[in-house]
Amino acid sequence: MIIQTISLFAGIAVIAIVVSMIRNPIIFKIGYRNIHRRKSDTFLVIMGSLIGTALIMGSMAMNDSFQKFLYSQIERTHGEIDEMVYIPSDNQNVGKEFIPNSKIKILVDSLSKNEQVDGVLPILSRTVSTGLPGEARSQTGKSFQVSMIGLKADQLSRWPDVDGVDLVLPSARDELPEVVINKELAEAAEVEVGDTLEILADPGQRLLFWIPLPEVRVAEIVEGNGILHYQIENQGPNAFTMLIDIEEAREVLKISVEDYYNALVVSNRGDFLTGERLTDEVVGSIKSLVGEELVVREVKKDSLSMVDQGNIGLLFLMLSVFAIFAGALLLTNIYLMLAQERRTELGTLRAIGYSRRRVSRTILYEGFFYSIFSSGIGVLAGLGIARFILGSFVNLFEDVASLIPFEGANIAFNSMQSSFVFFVRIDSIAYGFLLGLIIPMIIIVYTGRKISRTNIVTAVRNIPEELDERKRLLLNVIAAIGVLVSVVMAYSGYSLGNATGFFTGVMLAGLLIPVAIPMKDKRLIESFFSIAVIVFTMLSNSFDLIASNSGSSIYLTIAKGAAILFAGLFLIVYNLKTFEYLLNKLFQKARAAAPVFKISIAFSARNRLRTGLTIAMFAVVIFVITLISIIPYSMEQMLVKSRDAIFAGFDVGAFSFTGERAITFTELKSQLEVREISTVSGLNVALRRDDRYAVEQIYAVDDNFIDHNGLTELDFVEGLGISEVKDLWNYLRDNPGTVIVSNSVLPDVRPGDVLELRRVVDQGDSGHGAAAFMQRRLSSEMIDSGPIDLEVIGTIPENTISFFNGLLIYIENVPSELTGSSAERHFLFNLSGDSGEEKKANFDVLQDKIASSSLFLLYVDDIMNLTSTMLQGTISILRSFLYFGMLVGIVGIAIIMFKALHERKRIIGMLKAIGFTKTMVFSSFLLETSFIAIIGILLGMVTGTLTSVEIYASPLMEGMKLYIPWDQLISMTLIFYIASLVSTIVPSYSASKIAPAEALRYFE
Amino acid sequence: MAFVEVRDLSKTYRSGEVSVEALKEVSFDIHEGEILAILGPSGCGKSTLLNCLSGIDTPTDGKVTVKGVDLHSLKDDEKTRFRAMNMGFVFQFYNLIPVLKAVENVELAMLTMGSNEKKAREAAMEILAKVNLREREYYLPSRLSGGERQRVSIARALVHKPAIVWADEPTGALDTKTSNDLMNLIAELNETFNQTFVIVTHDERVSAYSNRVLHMDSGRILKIEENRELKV
Ligand SMILES: Nc1ncnc2c1ncn2[C@@H]1O[C@H](COP(=O)(O)OP(=O)(O)O)[C@@H](O)[C@H]1O
Ligand SMILES: [Mg+2]
Repeated sequence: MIIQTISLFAGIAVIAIVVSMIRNPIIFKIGYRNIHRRKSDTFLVIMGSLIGTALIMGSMAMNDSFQKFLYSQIERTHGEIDEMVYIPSDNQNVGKEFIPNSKIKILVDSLSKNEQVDGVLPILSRTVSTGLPGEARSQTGKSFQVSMIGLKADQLSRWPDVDGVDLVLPSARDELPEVVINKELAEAAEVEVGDTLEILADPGQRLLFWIPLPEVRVAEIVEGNGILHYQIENQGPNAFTMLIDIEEAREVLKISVEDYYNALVVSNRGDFLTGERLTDEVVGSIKSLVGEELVVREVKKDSLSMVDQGNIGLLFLMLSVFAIFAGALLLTNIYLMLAQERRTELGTLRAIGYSRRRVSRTILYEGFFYSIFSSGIGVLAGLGIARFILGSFVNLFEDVASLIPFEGANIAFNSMQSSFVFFVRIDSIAYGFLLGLIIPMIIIVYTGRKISRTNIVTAVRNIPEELDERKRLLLNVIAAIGVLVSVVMAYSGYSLGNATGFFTGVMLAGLLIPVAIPMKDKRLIESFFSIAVIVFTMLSNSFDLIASNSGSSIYLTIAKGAAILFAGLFLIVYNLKTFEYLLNKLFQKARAAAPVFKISIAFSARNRLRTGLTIAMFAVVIFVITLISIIPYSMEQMLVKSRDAIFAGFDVGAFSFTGERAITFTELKSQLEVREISTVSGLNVALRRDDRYAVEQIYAVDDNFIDHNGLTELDFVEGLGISEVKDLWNYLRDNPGTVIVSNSVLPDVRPGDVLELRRVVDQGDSGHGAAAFMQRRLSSEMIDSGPIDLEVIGTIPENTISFFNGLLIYIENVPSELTGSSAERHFLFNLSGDSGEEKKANFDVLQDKIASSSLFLLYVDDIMNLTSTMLQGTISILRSFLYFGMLVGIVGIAIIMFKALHERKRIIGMLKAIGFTKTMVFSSFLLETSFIAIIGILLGMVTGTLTSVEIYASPLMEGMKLYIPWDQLISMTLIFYIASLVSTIVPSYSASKIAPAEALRYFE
Repeated sequence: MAFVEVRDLSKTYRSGEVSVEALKEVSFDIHEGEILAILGPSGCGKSTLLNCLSGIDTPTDGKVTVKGVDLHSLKDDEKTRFRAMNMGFVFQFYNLIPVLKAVENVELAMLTMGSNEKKAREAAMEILAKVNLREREYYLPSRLSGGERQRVSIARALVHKPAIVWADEPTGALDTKTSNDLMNLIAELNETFNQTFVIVTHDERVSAYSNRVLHMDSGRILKIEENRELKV
């Protein structure tokens, strides 16, 4: 919306400028000719302004590509399905409850006539196991969980998704019932048309192998969206679907109730995307037909809104904001210098009778040419950047997919890769172009106006203009108003409980007060306030209001980062003279270099506006890069440190979710590759929290776990006579009635607390496990047994990343009241072998050996590898994006030094006349670059680090440690610094080659 | 041997097809301690001559010997260093460094010579006092008037006590009164320090302050005349 408005504005501005050019041919000519005056300058100005456009365009194209990808996923999984109608049930999965036939009839009849609906389809949906005959019961990867959908052929043929799919649902015959399956299932199960599949509808019959299972025949294999993929119950990655005639479905599933369907899917008029707009109205119509008894889920709307929230392009846009800001600083610098350069001739134009408006237009037109050109190239560059970054993402996914130890990962990756392609909308290109134009144009209009106000005499004689008293006073007044506004903002933020408002108000006031004070030398005051702002920000978490929002409000975090950055910048800019003084003192002894130092530092230190802008530009870029480096690095370090916690210090976790194993504990234990194997049995318990119960997992651990686990950083109760964590585990074994609790699931449990537990009634629902179960609240019928009290003797810190999050108890101490509910048993063991390679080799051997069992093994190093690949990959992608931002700095400093070269030509001539050698001139230019670049880089690094420290100090990050990748930061900034120097070699060299007689002759 | 010997000095500017003979076999001597004025109409080659004498430009032909040193046989850096040690410059447009204060502009010449900071500052303060700029030492050039700026630039030319000072139209950007004051100052300084001054000008009133006047036209010397009634 904002983007559209700005673009519209830009579009109008472009037209207005073009019209005014046509009406002012002479000014147009001057502006146009000026472009050709210095080729290298023109090139750099265009470079400088195209980077901003490129970053905007890149972010937008990335946004488009990701959006298209996610939409294509939605199209696949949801197709035309916009709403789903069903009867919710308390303790059963969605869709298991039948809808009365009468209701279905009303809905179908009425919705078929509804203008806003183009599809109504009642379905009977069940998740079943299927496989080739004799395999449906197997648990070895030869059976598949499939969504079986019973429906009527004639109703299906009217459903929009299956348009064009040649779909014949069989009427009942004497032969096997015929089914239509989707391509994914056909490929996974390796079946073809005509093959027979076996159906296990009731998981309870899995072991009752003497009961014969019904069979179906594959009549057709289809590809398609929506109903051919939609997973009504469990939304897995595979989306296997089987369509069958409703009567036959009832037979296969042995359904005897008189009602037929358990869900009704509805498609709104329009395609998979546009239909969503009618959601509210259609839902209203449905509700008016059936009342509150049936639930209408807005499935399409929900998924689309998830896409719009979680779009990664937005992240890049946020990162770009910094680079664009840096770019804007650069442009301001460029055009101020340009205006300075043109001052004499513009003053002359004024003298011979050109009005202010016309004079400001010469700059406007000149800038307009640059901007149009650079925006065009910027759009192309941005598209290139987006392509590159998307390519990096695909590579990353590929790497990650190859590391995931699941069979399906590669299939999932391939299907994803085919829909994850570069895509950009035409209107995005238009917006990118216009947005890329608007920023420079605003700056140009500003500088143009400024130059047109110049005093004619001083301009013609090229005398520098001082900030006069009136302007100074005006600045004071504006700043004072700003202070007032900030104070109001802080106050209202405080009273409304808006932490960001409060903080921003206080910070702005702090930064503006010194500006508002009408005083000449503000070095001390400015330094005091800047330091105060930084200190206040760093300590801001001691204010409850701010502390409670830290880490959760992204705006507050941004405000804090900005406060530190700007305060740092003000501190530096107002103390440039201090730096100059110190540096001169330092290099006083450097005899031959002393005059070089003196002038190069004087040029940068005493040109506060220009140097401040340039330093800010460097600092902003490095600031973001520092943040982006530190935070993910810290996350990775945390992860590396948690290697000993993931499987409680064991090398391998072996999981079996079905409760029965093809391989027994003793068998596994007897393998050569296995050492120190321990059993962990997890069971569901109801834990009392205040006046209600919630489901938690309690893990019963054995002796090997007590003796060999690697969980060492525990908090425990004083007064048990325990000094070491080792003893704590032994204490757990020796004392019934004690538990150790993970703070990651129960954050406020402390050592010494007593927990009240009850048994949970077994659901007998082995199909879906604990995940679906845990999301639901416990109703009173689900809780059994009397209360059992357990004392917490120790807690595992909240930041521990572990597979076993819950309550740990010694197996012999599990109260009998809690046993009986189905227990999941997992194994933890170490691998034999001394080195990582040996262990990995043994792991592979072991995995081959037990491949046919239902045990699933995970090696901790594989997990570490996977996650660090993901983190590293993401970091490097983010960073490569920011390297484009670095270009702003590099090109920027080159431009500034080129402009300095032209501006100082005569002075350089003079210096050479009075005895400056080529080397001296050359090094004075490089020194000037260094002075600016080093201060900017240091400022960015320090403020970035401070901001990271502050972020990590927020209560939300409790327990998270900050790790600073010094080597990365240092090497990165060195590269940046060297690149900046290299980029200024050309202007420095040209400066050193200036012929004094030549330079002194003309008054340019 | 004269202090500065100029023999058969020629300079031709070439830019593409066109070539301009700015100096045509010019020969003369400059005496130690004198004020020599080079007088002639605009475009006659005065600046070219001065630049070739001081070594900031290279002649096409001929020889310049300063204090016995064949100037143009030196390498560029040697020439530069020779200038730093022996010469001072005053330009028409002052060419002060805008970000340096008056005193810093002046001491720059000392520092370039390799002098230490303290000595440079002392010498700069002293010479600024001599050119009547006491209390203007810490002003930036932008806050000084044209005459004051030119006096700073003279101070910069004299601070390291060079043997010879080159001045190209030093009064070119100044009004008559300020010009007279400035020329009086130069004559006075010449008296005090016995430094050689070579002043290029197209203004007869300026040449009136010199010991000798070298008349030029179209790249040639018309005559050199002694100035009997020195105007001080
Ligand atoms: N770099 C140059 N290229 C070409 N011609 C030049 C150059 N510098 C000076 N000239 C020409 O040489 C002649 C003498 O110039 P100059 O020494 O500046 O004269 P003056 O100082 O007496 O006014 C003039 O005709 C001028 O146009
Ligand atoms: Mg001249």
